[in-house]
Amino acid sequence: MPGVVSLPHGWGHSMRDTRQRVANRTIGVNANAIIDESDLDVPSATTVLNGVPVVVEAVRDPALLADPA
Amino acid sequence: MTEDVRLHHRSCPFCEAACGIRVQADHGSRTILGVRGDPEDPFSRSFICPKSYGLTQLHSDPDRLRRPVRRRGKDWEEMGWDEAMDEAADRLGTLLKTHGPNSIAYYLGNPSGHKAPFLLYGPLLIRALQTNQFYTPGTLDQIPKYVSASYMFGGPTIQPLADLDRTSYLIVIGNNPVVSQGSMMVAPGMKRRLEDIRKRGGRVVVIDPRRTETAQIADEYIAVRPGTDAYLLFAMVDVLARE
Repeated sequence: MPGVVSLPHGWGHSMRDTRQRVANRTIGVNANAIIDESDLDVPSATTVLNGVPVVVEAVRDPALLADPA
Repeated sequence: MTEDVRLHHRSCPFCEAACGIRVQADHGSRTILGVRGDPEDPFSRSFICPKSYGLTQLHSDPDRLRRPVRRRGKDWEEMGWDEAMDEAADRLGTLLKTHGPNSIAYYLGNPSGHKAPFLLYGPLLIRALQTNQFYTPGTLDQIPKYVSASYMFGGPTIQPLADLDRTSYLIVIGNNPVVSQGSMMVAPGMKRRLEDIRKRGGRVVVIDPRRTETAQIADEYIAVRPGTDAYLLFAMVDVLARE
């Protein structure tokens, strides 16, 4: 669908102290990193996890590709 | 086959679909040789998903917790079970006294959620703690359903689940049951069940921004822009009311 990005959630167990040596060999991207946890569905107080507005641009600075954790 | 190698019939522990599995285990080397779907299981009928296949690797994963661990600054250290139980009891008590029940959060997930130890003792522990900080994977994706069920049917656990094996028209909105196995619907072998709806002359419609694996076996696929599903639902209610 034009204008829509699909990002399969990959847990992000590369974060510090998760101690997952085996799982980290097949790591995916962590969709939580771009979700605003203060954005709530008010009646149920549930975090909005889908339909997140995004802007996509190419990263040219290799430092930004490093693990933020 | 040596006499150390034995075949065990079990339920897959990962999710509530609880598919029947056959586990070949070498008791001499304490290794799992293979996991297969059980054709004699009347519910899953030999179906298993990649998570069941992965049980072999999970069992041998060196990162799997085998003993309790305690955090010491940046490091973790292993400890004995008795010591761990004593320390947890001490510190839970201190936390309750010093900071009140809501300083403790309870997190429940699978497989513990459908295992006897939790079913027996979990509710007792939660009641004893008196915390309202109670979380599960459902905190992410099921709570809105509990809220709507409370309004519509009078209780959070009164859930309208599709009667997959008898329905003649299934609308799937923002769901990918061919991959997820339907979660709350608890129906292993979902692909076969959806195909059966079509075989008996029924219809399967999928509404999703992504052309999912479920959309690929549906009669009709409708793409909606993410975040606009409420408008679609209002439009459907409008048509139902007018026509």
